[in-house]
Amino acid sequence: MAFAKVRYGAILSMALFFLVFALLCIYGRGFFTAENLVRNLLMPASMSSVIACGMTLVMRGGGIDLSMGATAGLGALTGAALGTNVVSSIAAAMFSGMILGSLNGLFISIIGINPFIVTLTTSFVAKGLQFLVSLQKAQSTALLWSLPMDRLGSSPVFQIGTSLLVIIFLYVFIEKTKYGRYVKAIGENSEVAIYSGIPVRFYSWMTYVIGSVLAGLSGVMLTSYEGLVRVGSGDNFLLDAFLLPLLGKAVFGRLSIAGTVFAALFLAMIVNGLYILGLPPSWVNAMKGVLLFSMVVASQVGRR
Amino acid sequence: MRRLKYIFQYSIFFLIGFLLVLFATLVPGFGNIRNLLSMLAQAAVTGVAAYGLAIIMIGGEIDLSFAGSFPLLAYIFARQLSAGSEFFMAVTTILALGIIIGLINAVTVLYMRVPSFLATTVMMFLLTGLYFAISGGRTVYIKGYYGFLFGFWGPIPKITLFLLVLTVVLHMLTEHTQWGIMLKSIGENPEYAFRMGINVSSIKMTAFALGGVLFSAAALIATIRLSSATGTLGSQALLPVMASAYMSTVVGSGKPNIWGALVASYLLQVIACGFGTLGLPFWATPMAQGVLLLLLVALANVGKKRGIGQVSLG
Amino acid sequence: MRVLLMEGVTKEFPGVKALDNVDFELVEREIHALVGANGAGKSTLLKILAGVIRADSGNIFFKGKQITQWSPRQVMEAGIQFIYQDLGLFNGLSVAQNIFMGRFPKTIIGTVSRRDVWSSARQILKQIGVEDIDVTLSLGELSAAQQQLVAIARALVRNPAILVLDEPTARLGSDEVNTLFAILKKLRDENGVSIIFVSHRLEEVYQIADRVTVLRDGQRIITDELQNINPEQLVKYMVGARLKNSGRLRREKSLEPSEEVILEVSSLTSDWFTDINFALHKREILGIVGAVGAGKSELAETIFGLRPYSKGQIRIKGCLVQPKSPRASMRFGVAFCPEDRRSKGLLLKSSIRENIVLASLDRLALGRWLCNPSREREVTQRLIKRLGIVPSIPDHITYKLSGGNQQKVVLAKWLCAHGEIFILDEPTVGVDVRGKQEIYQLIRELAMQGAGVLFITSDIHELFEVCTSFIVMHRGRIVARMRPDEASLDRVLYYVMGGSNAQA
Repeated sequence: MAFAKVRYGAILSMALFFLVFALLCIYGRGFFTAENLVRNLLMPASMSSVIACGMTLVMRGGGIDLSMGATAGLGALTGAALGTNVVSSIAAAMFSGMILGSLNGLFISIIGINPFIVTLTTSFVAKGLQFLVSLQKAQSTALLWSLPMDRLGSSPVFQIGTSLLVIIFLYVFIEKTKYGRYVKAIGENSEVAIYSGIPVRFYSWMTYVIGSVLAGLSGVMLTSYEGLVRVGSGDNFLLDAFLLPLLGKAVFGRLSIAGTVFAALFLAMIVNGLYILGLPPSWVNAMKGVLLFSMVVASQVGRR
Repeated sequence: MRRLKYIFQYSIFFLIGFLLVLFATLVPGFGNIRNLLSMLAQAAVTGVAAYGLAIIMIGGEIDLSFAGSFPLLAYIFARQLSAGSEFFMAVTTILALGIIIGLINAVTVLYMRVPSFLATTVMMFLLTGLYFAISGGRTVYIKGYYGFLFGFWGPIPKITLFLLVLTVVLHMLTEHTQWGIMLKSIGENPEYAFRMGINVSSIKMTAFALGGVLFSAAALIATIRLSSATGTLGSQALLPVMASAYMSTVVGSGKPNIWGALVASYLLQVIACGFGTLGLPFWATPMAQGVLLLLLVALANVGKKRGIGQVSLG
Repeated sequence: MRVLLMEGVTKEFPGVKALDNVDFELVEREIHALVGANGAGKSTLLKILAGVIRADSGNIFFKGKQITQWSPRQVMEAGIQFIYQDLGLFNGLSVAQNIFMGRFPKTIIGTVSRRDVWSSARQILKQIGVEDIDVTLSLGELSAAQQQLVAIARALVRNPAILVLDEPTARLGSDEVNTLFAILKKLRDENGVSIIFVSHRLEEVYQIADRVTVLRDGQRIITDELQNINPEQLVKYMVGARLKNSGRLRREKSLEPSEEVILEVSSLTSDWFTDINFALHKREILGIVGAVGAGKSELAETIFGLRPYSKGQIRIKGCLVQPKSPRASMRFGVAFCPEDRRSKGLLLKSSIRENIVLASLDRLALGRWLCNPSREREVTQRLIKRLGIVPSIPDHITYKLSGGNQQKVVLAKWLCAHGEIFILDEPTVGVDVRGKQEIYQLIRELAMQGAGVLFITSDIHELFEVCTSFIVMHRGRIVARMRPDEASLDRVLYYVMGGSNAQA
């Protein structure tokens, strides 16, 4: 689209991806099986893609949402506590995301306060809401999903299918529609966008709403996979949420859905691969960190 | 109108005052000097870490790796003590490690040109992973009594004293030394600073190192106070420390600063203590913290002409 | 006695010879003006002097000694201080802190005492005759002129032998310019500082400089005492033979404004201007001229919906409108090219195509939401051709374009959006002579095709070249209305400067 040149970082990373994939197929026992690829690679990647793509949209508009982790947890808890069936649970989760996203958008896009500060404080609010909602159903802080939801959560069709829907929707939205162009312009230079007649406040607000709705959805996806929800589920999601788009940007040169998804797949593959290769579980995270580190540094080579 | 703006900028003090009065009337003994100072001691961990973050932020960068270095350094410290190392030796080791981590971050950001948000997040991942790898996530308890660090000096908890002294020193450093003023200028406009012949890289590097030391100090305080090193130290600290550092911009000048970070972390602590003592439900504390912080932020931004809020992440 | 000699300086960039064997000399106690059109080589020469870039060949002698290693730090230490157009000051720090940046007086324990810094700052300011700036305030609270003075004070702390000022008067009003010039003369006479002064404003050059050097197309044309060259000659040196052709062009194809009023402003009043009345007809190029601070840009922004107004009416094509946002104004056919095209007119990191279609996405999209890249490219190609944008690749990134081409892209954006009322704020700033002519021609074509154009400028020559009539604004009011054929340059200047009928 906007850049015609091919970036070394992108080619290198893609090559690395396939190299690692190939190595894992050869050396990893049980890697290249449908069971493993679907359950341990694609499904985790799907879950983190959804929230990370939401964050990608927000970042494209020049913002950031640090409350997404708490929103994910809130969505899951709302869905579990208030939803009577699968559909209403998901709807409730997305609705609570919408509320939180609107709140963020109000302070950031309409009033105009720094997104870091605002979303930090709203994450506290979301945390409080998590406690509040989880007390509705049970005294303990852990809730179990109903059986249909649990089953849905373990279904690859649901997880991968949902994430594909989200990915395709956002890809089209950002790259192909005029709304995506608006968001891109706002993120690049909001003054120019204003001077060109783009309703900047509305579209900026919109990115937060969409992002948080997706966060709520991803909360349901994650917790239904695990089977239970508790206060604090989704906190770890936040790191993935902003790490993946930035990794995608480091590799591909700009924030994009494709880049974010690539990062999600790569990361999932690394984690899965390390387990398969027999690394003790406690070392997996460390290795993930080391590899991330080298990936990030390597992508900067050849730049300036 | 300017007078009004002034009031809004210092509204956090009114809020703390109001809360203290409120809690003092509802809870006997809350308004006691001893209690007030001990709450300050409890806020020390968040506060010291927030100092580190604030200093790095003044220079225009960010360092989130503390969420990873906390559990790791705490664990190493606890293990060292358990293995019989001398106390001050262990402390020095940890502080040194903190500096090293800070310097690695600095090199990654300044020489490998990775944006600091991304670089330090990845470092956080790395350190967290390392922690789980070495420790398996177990909690380690410290044997032995290191109470000489705690306890009181008259009515003042020693930790509070330490905190206040540190605050004054860091305040002097950031506001009243050439280094601090140069750091501010770099944070505002690194290109102009470079034009003035300021060695931007070296000053930023020092900032990262200083931040690293402060982060490790915070980890030490937390570990000693709890007499144990737990794995949740980091993830629990992430939001409060960030919130305190960012809220410091709301107190006073609009840029990150030391006293602001202290006040902000104290506010968070007062809410937590007050609500806890009153026996309010779990959800009330974070909710109140969030709502009140949001209110303060909104007030501080009253009267400024703005577009939409945006950030640049490199 | 010679303080600086740059001899035989040559610098080539890919495809362009920026400097061709240029000599430049500066003697003690002189104010030496460096003039030339954009692209003439002034900034390149200064960048070489500043140590930012290295010359391909040539020598630099400072105080008689040849310099081989030249880095910005060494330049500063050697005693050459630069004050760029952006001033390079820190808004968040206090005035005193700015003045002493990098050179703070320290106490025994290494801290900086605020009071010491304050009093030393006051002393420095007093040296240049400034007593009314509060050094404890943060820099952002000062006016542009005061900030300029702070920049000079900061340069003085390092006791420079040479001071280089790049367009220092860009943001100053006439009183402030006089104050600045008095200070510069003082520095020359009492402190023995030699000053290199870059400017586009002829009157100022004549006001302040002792000698002048003219650069054109990378060559030094002439260096002489200012008293030996009169203004027309000077302009001729700067522009070359081309001057003859311009100016006549406007009469070649006669442009008669139609009777139909397309924009009418009555009694418009706001915080920035008072009681503005004018009517813009179709096929008319109405100029608005005035000094910095006259309210021209604010008026334009108000019509475009960016600023509120308290009294008055705006009528477009006869209908009463109340533009509350740019989007609303656009619906009435208003187009606005802002003064600062780089930060407010263009998305520099985006391509030409993306910029051109930015205001027309609704129209060009399928079903009003799906973008149609091929149609966009088609439209872009047409506009690129029509306006002569170089390079003619739609996907080229805009920050690489020259100033003139960038301005054309902004114009193209509004042509694409079917603008009927064009408000152009300083459209030829930072554009070279050739580019300016092309833009004037484009504006004339716009008018001939039926648009109404509001042409805002502070360059009076330009006004005469382009406009069919103009109004002069001073301090938020209209003080004169004229046509080019019934006015003279100095008469207009007189009104611009706020002259009343008492002194003619």
